[in-house]
Amino acid sequence: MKRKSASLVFMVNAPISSTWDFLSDIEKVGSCVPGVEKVEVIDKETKHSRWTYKVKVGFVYKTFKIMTRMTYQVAPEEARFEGHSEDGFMTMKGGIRNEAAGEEATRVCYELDVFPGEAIPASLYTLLEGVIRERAQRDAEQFARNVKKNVEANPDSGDDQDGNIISIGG
Amino acid sequence: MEKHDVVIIGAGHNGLSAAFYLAEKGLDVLVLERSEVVGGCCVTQEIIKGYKFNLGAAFPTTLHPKVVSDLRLKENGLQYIRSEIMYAVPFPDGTGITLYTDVEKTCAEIARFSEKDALRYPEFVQLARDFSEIFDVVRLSPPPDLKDMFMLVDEPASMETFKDIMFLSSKDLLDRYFESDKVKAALAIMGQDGYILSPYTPGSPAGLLFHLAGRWAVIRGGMGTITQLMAKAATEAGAQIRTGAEVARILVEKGQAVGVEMADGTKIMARRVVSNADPRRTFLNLIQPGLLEDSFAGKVRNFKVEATGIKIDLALDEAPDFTAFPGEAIGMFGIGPSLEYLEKCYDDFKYGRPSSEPYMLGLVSSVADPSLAPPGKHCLYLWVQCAPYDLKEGHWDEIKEGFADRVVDLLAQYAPNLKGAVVGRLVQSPLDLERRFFITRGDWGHGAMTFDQMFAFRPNIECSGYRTPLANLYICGSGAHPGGGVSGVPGHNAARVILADEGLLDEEVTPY
Repeated sequence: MKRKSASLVFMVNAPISSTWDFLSDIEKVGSCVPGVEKVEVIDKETKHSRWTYKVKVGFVYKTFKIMTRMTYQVAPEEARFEGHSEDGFMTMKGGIRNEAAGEEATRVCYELDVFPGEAIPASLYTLLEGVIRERAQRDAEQFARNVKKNVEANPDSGDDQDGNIISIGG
Repeated sequence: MEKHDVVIIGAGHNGLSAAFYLAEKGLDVLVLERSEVVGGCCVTQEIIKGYKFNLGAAFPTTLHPKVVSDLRLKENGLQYIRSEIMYAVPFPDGTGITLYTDVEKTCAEIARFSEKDALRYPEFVQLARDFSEIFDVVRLSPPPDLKDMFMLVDEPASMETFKDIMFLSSKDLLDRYFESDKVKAALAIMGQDGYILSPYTPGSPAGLLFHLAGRWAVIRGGMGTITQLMAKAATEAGAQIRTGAEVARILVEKGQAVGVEMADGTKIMARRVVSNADPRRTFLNLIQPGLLEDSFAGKVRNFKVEATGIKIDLALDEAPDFTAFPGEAIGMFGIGPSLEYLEKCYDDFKYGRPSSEPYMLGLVSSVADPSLAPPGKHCLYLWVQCAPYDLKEGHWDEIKEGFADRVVDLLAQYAPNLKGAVVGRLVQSPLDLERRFFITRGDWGHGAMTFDQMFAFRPNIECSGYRTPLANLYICGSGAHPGGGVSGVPGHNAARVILADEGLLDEEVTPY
């Protein structure tokens, strides 16, 4: 089963240290993800957390409780995570890589793989793949915008804002 | 003996769509079309000198953006001509409502009839958009099982909406939002186009909501442009298309399809055979009796196939001038002044009679695209409901012109200049549609679009996933999920199933 992913690169006009501080704070990161209503930190050390995530497609609403944990981190450059919804509907893996682009800017690479979980019946599999494929990249781009807005002292304004977000795939 | 990887029976939009997706992956594809032109029900021809008529479908509302993009239709010349007016509804008292693509503008229009209704309209449009969004997702995958669909809508708000769409009637739903009879009628009209369910019938809102959220437009050059460009995409991908090539039967050996036999006795072998013909034609006409189990053949016979209307194309010296919209060039309109009127259209239909007071949908495509008619002249497409295939009395060949006369008289009550403007016409009864397009009982949806015949039940559980009980035989037409309308989607979905069976798809298409 080919994984569905979102992948993009974006520039944050802030030093790598403050960019990392933000992106390694689970609750702050959660506030930037479209659809996330709540983040409960279960273990600060291991960064286990439970995310309440609501998705809407047309008139269909689904609320997921997603358990996540950090699987790898090397501050301030890289972090990887994985997660799964408690109802078995989806699993995910992702990560960020930061590169300093001068003293006051950070280049952030963000990747996310989401795919239907074992609880999905066969007849919904392709349908949900389609939803994930359509949403993951779009939501990742919004995530990037939200991160920039929160981290930068003077967030980009005007027409060039999205010029700093480069979608690679999805 | 001639042999190909895939033979596709029928060059309608779904056959062409399937041909493209299969040829693009390197398969040797041959499309066999019985008539002299490709396009199936999606064709434009000059039947009266200077006037180009869409002989079948007139609206591109269901054409899926993915199909447009994958086949590069826009890059090769497909042009949508969009109007700010969705459609207009005149009433017998000389008033009328215009529905715009702009919600606020429509609210202002509705406010003339009811301030309360104007306030509710944005909410109703959002419901239509929500329905359309989920349907667009569901369309592009093999059909979900009904019990699994309930898993998706298990949250109360979703379940309520799902229940309303499946079990309410259009009238029930409209009554919840609106108070004005005229507003309700104007909105209900779109939902009845080609629909076998009357507005008082449970399950009828789906058509209404889908059309209200639809991508209203006219195609420059006529609807036939779509299928011409699809054929171009398919041939550029490597498919061969042969017209004037009638398939007489599907060849079956040891329970699997191995090719086709042509009307002239020639045999063409293939590893896989794909039928774009309707299910009845595919399974009951093209396959020798006895090769399918009786229970399956029975299900195919029981699959409801029914024309709902009669098509009348008028060549006009001038555009219809509606009393309700004096001097305005109305591109699209509906005649159906109340929900009761729309409901009563179906009463005659139920008892084998054409409606004594029919509902009609009209498209003056030349208002948006003057290339379809001589300068200053116009083509008027009328879809008139209801008109049953089986008549209790009389024969369509004898009565259709008289029926058309009554339709023109009726329309002239709303647009008094109409009768004097007609310089020619083409009337197609359900029988004519069957003859011209080789569609059983004149149903260009290949089967009624009712919930009992949708999703996993279209055309039945055994072949709703495009594979059939005969190995290497597939269906790809409107009789498969997601159903009728010029979408290219059944062809796209069927092609993906075939590619999975060929091992040519990256991801698995879950067999259903």
